[in-house]
Amino acid sequence: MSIRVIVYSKFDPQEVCIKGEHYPRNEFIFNFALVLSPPDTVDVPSYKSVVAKLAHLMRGLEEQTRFLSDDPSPSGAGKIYSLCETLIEDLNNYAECMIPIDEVNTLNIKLFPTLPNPAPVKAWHVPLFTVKIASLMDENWDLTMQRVIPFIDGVNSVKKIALLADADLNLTRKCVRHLLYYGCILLLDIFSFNAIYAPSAEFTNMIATDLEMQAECARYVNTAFAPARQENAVGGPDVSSSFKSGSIAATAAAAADDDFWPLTGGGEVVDGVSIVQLFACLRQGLTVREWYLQNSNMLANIDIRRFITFGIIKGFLYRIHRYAIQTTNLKNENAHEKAGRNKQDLQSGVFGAESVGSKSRRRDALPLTHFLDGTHSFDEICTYFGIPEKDLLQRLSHPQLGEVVVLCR
Amino acid sequence: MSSTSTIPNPCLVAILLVCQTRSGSGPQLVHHWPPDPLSQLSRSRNPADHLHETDEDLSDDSYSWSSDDGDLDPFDRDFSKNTSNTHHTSGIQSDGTRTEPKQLLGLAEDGLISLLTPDRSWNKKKFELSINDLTFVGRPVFARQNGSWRRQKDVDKSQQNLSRLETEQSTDNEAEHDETDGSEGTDKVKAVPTHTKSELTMFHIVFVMDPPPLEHSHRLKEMYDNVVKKFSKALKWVQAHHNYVWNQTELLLSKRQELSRDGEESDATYASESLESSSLAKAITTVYTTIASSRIASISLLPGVSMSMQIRPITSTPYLPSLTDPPILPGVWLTTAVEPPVGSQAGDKPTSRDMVELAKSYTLLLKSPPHRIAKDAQAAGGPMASHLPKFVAALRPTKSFFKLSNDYQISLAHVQLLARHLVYWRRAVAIPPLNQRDTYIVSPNADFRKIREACRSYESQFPASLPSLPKLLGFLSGIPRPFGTLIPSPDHKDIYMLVLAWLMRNGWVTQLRTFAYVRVGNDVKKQARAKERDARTSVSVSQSSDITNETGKAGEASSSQRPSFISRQSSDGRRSLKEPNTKGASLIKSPPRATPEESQWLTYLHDSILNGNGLFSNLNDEERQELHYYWPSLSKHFDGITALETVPVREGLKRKVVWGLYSKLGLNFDDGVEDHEGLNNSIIVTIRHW
Repeated sequence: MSIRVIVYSKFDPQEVCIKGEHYPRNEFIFNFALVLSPPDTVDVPSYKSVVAKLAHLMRGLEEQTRFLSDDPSPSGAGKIYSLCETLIEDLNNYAECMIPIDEVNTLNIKLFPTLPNPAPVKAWHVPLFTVKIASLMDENWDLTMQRVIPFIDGVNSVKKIALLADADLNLTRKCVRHLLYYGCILLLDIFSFNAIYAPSAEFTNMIATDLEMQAECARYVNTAFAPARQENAVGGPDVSSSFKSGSIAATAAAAADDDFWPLTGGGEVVDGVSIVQLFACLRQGLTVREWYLQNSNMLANIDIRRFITFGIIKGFLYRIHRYAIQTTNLKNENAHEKAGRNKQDLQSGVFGAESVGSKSRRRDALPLTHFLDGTHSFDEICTYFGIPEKDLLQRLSHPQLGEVVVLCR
Repeated sequence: MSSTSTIPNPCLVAILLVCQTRSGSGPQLVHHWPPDPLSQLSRSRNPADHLHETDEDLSDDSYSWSSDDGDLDPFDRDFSKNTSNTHHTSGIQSDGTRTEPKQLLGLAEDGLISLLTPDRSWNKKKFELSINDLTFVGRPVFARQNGSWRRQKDVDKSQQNLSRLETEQSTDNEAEHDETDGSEGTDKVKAVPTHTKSELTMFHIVFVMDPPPLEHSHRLKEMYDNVVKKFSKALKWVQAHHNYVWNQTELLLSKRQELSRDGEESDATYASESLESSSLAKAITTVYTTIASSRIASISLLPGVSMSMQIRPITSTPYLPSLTDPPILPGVWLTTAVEPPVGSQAGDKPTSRDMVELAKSYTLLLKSPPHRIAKDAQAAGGPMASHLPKFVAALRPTKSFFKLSNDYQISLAHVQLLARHLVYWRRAVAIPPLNQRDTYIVSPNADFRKIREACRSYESQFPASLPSLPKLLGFLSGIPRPFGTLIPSPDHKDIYMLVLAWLMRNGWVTQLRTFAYVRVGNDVKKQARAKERDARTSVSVSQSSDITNETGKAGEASSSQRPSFISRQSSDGRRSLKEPNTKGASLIKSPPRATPEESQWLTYLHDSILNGNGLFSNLNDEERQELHYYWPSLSKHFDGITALETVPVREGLKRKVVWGLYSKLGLNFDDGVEDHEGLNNSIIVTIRHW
């Protein structure tokens, strides 16, 4: 077809029928319809609540004062006309409106953009603010939220935040998810010198060719500009721009002119290309510690954690997690479930949660073997049992577990 | 990356067939599947939620900051009535004693059907209608003004009937065919024999979907382009040639009438009887079940008239989502090796040389065993059936198309045609040929939830002498090494390559590829500038002054520009005075498109290979000569996009030679940025990812 005609008929009617003997036909039917531009240019779902609210309000008005049925004005004038006129003007210009209708009724409408559901937040995720939250918060906020927020610093995991804030873990997760929904935070992984990071395919489009990003990175990681107390995140690729501008501008102002490039141990300048090279040196099979040892001179004045975090936030670096697979566990169909239960009694003393200390002694605690199927990262297992990775490796080498293969991906 | 999820989600709720006939009884709902669409929906989620889902409903149990939807929604009223009699459908007989309107999908059926019956101006156009959360997408087709479904010209030559719509190609032919007769006014209307006049004046096959708000247009487009349009075109074709839609309509309507006369108007009975007797009902059911589960729909309308449709899922992605990004389907192949970069510049037409290069760089990895593909091809028939079995039997994931074509005397064009066909119908993926010298890593996107089944299938396919699957993956997930280092002896090579193909096929591993940039250090820049200055002073004034001017300008511009990240930020001129350019090295983004200044640097680097400067001082004369000779052909691929692994094939060189040259240029995967003397003077910067 040479000319493609796309015909759209898309409407949002909300028909309301009011029965009543005072109407000539014993009922009154009305329908407030909004006509929108083509769906690819406008966020249609956000208008659904508007239509529903209009129908609801008008129904009330009609029942109270016969607002709709009793409007003698000619077309192009009158209260309904002016209401519609104000509504369309306000929604188009301000995306919200507050129209007083009579002494008791006011039409309050705000268009909320349709945001995707936030990603699930796990206990081992590390939230990091992309906004200055203190400036947004007030005393009316949720209590758990108020407790949790001071501990969100880009270092603490959700579980640790819950412990520090003395808040329930699930409530803490919900708070973080809430913040995530509004784009106030990013999620990172738990940084450690044992972790492995490697470039992703975004590397080419980002740090390697984007000179601005190299400079931004230099400012962010240079220990000479170590941030005071609060961590400021750089703007991630998808963070809504209204939020990200603040923190970057602040850091940028601090870094006067071109003195933001960090220096090596020998006093040389680590330029943009060197930063690219340092990132490119992170690779599969190489822990951050080993990488640091190889490049300690160049990294002398660079905050390693922030350096890694920068790559993660921008998305050109990815964390390679470790996973464990207990090979005996995989052998037969139900081995997993059975092993889980049978071994629980047998091994709980050694591997189970009980050995971990009073903190995690819960009735539904899972045995370590539950996590050894290749889908649970070491971060997750360590967070669950509250143990460092070293202890976990020690437990994994226990002969009772049989052969355990450690995978990185 | 867009926020649109790449995970297949057809969002299909139901398929309706609406027809209008000459009798003037108005549009009718002839058939719909499933018999009770809303109960299907409610199985997956609460239908009430479904119908009034407001955007605040974040679907997470804990996420109820949704407002007051209690009595807010007038559709409550309709809906409660509906579920019980969603499909006292039929819509044919009117017994006068109508108590309440028939309901379909929670809406008044009569009203819905009349909405789904647009006028002639919508003929063969995309029709889209949203009511609440349901979206109806279709493509109405009308009979010609004179009541016939075919042009006279077509009727004349109808003897030589093409009947197979099997392959994509033939459907396309059909499409063109279809389009030509869409131009109603232009063709001369001859006296049409009355027998070509059909009772049917319009039919409309409507797909009902409930896409999530954010994916609305994407999901709709997918469905329309891949399924609705094709299905509607095919039905138009069989209607025109066999009066098929009308025959089936009559059949279905009479079946329903019969049932209702017998007093057993049960939908279950109707559903099963219609499936038995009507090939169209059966086809609609097949399309519904397969498309709703993201599979390929193969339907047969008449003996010898069959077609296949699908919404193609993505088979690979270069993009690994972060924790907050929309996830990708676990197990999807993670790679950048899909877009053949050959001749990719805009406007370039693929030349035969490009074709050969492409053929040398790619091969097919079959998704199912060759004998099964051969069997299915035979069963499906069609023009490909005779060639496919031989082709799939000959395919080896280690052998490029080029070799295949040489070894089996199949033309490259033919190979490509067959390969495309297999890829399109999900039987294979195009990959760079597997090679034991390449490096493979465990894919970050591998689906370890399937490790148990995978172990079983691995053990059943490969001898027990091989390392177990977890162990093998353990090896591949450590420090990246060429796959060959895993192979204990040359005798094991074949079986290990089979294992590698198996791992690739199931998304456990991906190739780790190497990309490079040319790095121009400060010293190089300085010396290149000095050299340039010397050259310029030696140029006599009489010689083309404009060239001097130009290079002069380029020189000035560049000196004020470097490093550009400074001057780009502010253009107040202050920076250029300070000349901070002495500080930064540069990466050359794309050597073939180098700026004049970058070309200077590249030339200088090229020359310095012969002179034995810096990095090259350890090389002997012969090595320098060699490197100097190959530098232009190698360096043009150092653009961060071309995998170094593909350079030998592209340049027609030996892999060993090329990798030898790389390492002379300083490629190594073990050291840090600085060399042993603590200097950072590498010439190439390499990055490895998939």
